[in-house]
Amino acid sequence: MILSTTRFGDLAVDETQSMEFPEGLPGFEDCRRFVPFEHAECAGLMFLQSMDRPGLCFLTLPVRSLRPDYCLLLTPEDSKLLGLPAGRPPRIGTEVAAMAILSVREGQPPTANLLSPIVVRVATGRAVQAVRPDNRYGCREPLVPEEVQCS
Amino acid sequence: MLVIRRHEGQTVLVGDDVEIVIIECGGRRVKLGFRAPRQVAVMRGEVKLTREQNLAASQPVSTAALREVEKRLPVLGAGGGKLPGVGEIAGPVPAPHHGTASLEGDKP
Repeated sequence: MILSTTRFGDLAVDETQSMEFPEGLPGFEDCRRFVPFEHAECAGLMFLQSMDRPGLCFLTLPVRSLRPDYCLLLTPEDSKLLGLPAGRPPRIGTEVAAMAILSVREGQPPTANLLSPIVVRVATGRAVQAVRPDNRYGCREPLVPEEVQCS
Repeated sequence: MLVIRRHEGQTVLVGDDVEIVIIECGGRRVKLGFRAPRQVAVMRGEVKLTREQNLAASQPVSTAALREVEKRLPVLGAGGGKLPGVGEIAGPVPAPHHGTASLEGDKP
């Protein structure tokens, strides 16, 4: 299908690639469907374009690109929403894909939201922004961990 | 900050319309119940942070700013898995991902 977007104009997208957020995202509860794509000009970045609002497009990176040892922690409610067992973290790569939304402000270093990654059930396309119930990561983490930057 | 100690079963009133009940406490967690009118938003602190961060992240990004992001990208090595089946805009339509994933397995 052809999707009208503000940033990229008319995009040819494959609807079978779309993600469905049953509850939208915090602050965007009415935006339920997104389609991911990469752009040839920005290799490595994954755009999440809203299928409900042409002007809404999030920039994301896989959590494991940012922190190779990242493990998900979901509330029982989010596990249930994705149809996953609550007793253990979902397996990134096989059960789910997990991406962090990036914030880019003019004149400031970009940051990644590792507190609340987008988690997509690979088998079904059902997705949730899973806000972690612990304090391990923040919502404005640097793209590269501080200890690496200082070396 | 006002600090109040409560036992299980006791309540705290906020304003005229909000009641908080300590349903259960034990170990390192507490279960709280909230009675509030529909128009009063009750949410976990980290959900409010997420909401604010999403709004900031949804602002349009200039091409120049995107270039800056690309420069700072971590090296996308073995840890950076792509979403299954996603291709580039100009390329052929990728295969549907609603099936068996062929991504690398989870790290222990």
